[in-house]
Amino acid sequence: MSTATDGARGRWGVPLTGVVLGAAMCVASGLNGRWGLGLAMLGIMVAYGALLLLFGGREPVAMLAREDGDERQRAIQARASHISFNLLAVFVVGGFVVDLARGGDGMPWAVIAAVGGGAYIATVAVLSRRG
Amino acid sequence: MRNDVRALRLSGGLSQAELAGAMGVSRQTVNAIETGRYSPSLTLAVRLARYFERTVEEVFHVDCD
Repeated sequence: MSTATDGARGRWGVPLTGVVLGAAMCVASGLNGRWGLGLAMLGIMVAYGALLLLFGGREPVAMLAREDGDERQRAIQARASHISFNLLAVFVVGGFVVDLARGGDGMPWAVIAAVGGGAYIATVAVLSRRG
Repeated sequence: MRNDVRALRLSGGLSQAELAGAMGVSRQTVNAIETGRYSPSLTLAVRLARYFERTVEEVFHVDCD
């Protein structure tokens, strides 16, 4: 059963998580003496959170701010994730190839590709068993 | 997939928001179904048909030709 608390959590959950992550990035960057970069990252996350709160009444923004939703919204989320994953895969593989061509060892592109590919294979295996 | 959801909703004097509330989906999803941009799941299609006291075949028209 949905409650007012669930609604508040749904509205504030993602923005607050973003701000907390931004603060963590800020501190991590600041510990290396790069407070300017850290504050910039925090500012980006705060701006993103504010965007979600200010325009949360619009469906696309509301879908960015919440993980739940009805079946159509979940289908849109799944398709968006699929497209994003494919674009990211192209970018990572491209980065890996370019890094090799420049004389690099392909890191950290190879690690990112391995994590993404491994997660994809594992997910397909698990979901196919569930039907 | 063509459907008669809009006609049935209007004949019942319902707004999209009211039908959405009854079905537990968003108003935008009702709009997407009515305009044929989204084909509902079997579960939602059955629930919509039952809500209007029709069969699924009477509400949704699949073009199999």
